[in-house]
Amino acid sequence: MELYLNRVTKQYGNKIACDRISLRMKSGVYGLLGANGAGKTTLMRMICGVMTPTSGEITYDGIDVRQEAYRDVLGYLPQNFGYYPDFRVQDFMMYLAALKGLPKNPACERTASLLRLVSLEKESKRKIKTLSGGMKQRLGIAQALLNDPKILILDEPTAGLDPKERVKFRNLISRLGQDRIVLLSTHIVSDVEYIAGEILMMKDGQILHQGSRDEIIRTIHGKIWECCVPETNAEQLCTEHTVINLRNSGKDIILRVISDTIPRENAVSAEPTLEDLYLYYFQEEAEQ
Amino acid sequence: MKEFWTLVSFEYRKILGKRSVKIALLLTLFLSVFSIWGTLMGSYYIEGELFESNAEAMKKDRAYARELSGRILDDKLLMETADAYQTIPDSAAVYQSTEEYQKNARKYSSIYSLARQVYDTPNVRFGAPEMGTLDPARAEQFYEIRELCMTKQIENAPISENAKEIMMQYSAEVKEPWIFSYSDGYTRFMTIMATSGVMAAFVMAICLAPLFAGEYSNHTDQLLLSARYGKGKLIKAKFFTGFSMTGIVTLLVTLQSYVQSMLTFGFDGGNANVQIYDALFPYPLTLKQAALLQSICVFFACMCMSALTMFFSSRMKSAFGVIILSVLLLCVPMFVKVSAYPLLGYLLFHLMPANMMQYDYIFSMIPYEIAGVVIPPYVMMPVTALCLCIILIPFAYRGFKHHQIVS
Repeated sequence: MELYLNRVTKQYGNKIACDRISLRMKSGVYGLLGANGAGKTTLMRMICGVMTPTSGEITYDGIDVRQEAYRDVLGYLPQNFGYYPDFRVQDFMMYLAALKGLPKNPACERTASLLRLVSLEKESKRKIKTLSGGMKQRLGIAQALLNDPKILILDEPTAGLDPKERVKFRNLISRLGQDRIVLLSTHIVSDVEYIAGEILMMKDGQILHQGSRDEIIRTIHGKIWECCVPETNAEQLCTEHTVINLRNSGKDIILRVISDTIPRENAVSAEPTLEDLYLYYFQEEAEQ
Repeated sequence: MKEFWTLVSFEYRKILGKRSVKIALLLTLFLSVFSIWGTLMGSYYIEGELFESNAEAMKKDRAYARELSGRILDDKLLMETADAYQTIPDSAAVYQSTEEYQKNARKYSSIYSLARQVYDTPNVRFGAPEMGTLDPARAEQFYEIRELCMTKQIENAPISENAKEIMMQYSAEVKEPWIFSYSDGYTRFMTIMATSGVMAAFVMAICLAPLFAGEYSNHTDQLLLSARYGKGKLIKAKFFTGFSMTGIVTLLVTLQSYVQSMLTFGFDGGNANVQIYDALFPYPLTLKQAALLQSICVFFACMCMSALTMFFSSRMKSAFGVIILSVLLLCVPMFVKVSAYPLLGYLLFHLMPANMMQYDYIFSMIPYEIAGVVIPPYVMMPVTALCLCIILIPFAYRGFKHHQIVS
């Protein structure tokens, strides 16, 4: 089982959305991290065959992305996915099951079990337009799993889910990643931190880092600092450095700062997290 | 194959689930029904006074025409008509209001309207007084005069000598003498079919505009195109749905117009020459054949319109834009008249979907000519429509298959 991307590029006029991306993905959960406009969605669309790369190739076990056999093993939850407002939940699932080539009876059984999985079994007769945002997102997740895909692409899957649903969803993804390739993109760093075996950091259409959480965090080792400063000095420090966190401690303020050098004499080096890494690479976007 | 039919059933559900589609279909049915019965509503007034209702007039004229049905249209019948029209006093301002017309001449009014088509000249209008004074010698020459008119019209047409010769052959094949028959059922059906056909094409443009464009604007395209059958069976299912729905709607509208026309006006006249309705009609066809040919032209014109709509839908991002473009393409040619010079432009213009439904264009005296082969419009139109469908569908197929999700 291998999803292979070979120098995949997407160019819109002068803008390069994805720049010669090469990846080999085997079973497991891959978290795609990047700021808005980094090229995450473009990359996912190309992997799903709904956008043609300007150059490069995408294959799964030698099957080209353009082939029906490739789509047969693909599950996709797009960002802001569309639906048919007047369709009932059950009908929507049955329609997509037919599109994915599932015969009627297995499709019925699979629909029932997936709706149970995403806690929508009681809503199966409701029209989609009457569902809440979180329910629609869960329906999107359920449809992506209809054909028991070998490649599961999830673009911002936790958007609109409440914390309880997010935890449930994370656990589900962890289980699914055992015997398939799961690629998910998100802005919520903690989602990726908990479940992704491998993290892909994307910026300006390129993969900056690829590796396990610990491996990529190592790149900012010694650049995260914590210091306790009076309120008057805190503001000055905020303008000079990227401040990740700021909390009051009596009269003083405790700051968590990203800096290549020690920001203050009393600052102490802290253990970096994935969020620190995210902010380190995307400080400009974060400030915007 | 099972999946294909499942996908077709879902496509039908998507189309028929829309309120706009339900309203458009009901409105088409209502207008189609009304356009036949509408002519019977209202009354005929003479000098401000109610004379008779249109429904009564239709029944009366039908009874008179049926009395003459089966008779040969010859000098004897023409002179009988002349005798009846002679009784109308010259002083009458409106001859229909005279007792003499109602009593003697009205029963021959169908014969008079035929005679008028043949005897009318650009300089002398053949009115009721001229009918009353018809010379027996001219009555005897009815078919010769008609043939002269036909020859003159064909000779003046901007077509090749070869085409003129073929048209003359067609005209010569018209069986003479004609047997008169009441034929309002068929003639009304043919008149109404042009309107009903345009309405069917219009409603199909509304129904099919979102077929592909709706998926783009709903953002369901991502789910569809990434699914196993999204770039193959689904597109075929969409085309099947589009064409089958067009076929069903057009057939239903045609059937409704036919049955309603026949039940209202009568089934008579199907085997009579079209010439008993349109004396200068060039082709040797019966009314039943002409009605069938027109229905076929309407059917294929609607199919062509649907193919165009599906093509636009696959290439445009909004269903609204597709509707605007399709409706413009359908309706604008109905309000435009094109000169026969240059001939190519004239002939191509008549191959627009709305023009393919018009009696005058379907049975035009100007045929098509390809590599020396002369093709009557009623053959050329459905064949062209079919070819256009065959050409457009692969482009529409590719339009959806290669659609790029960018927004």
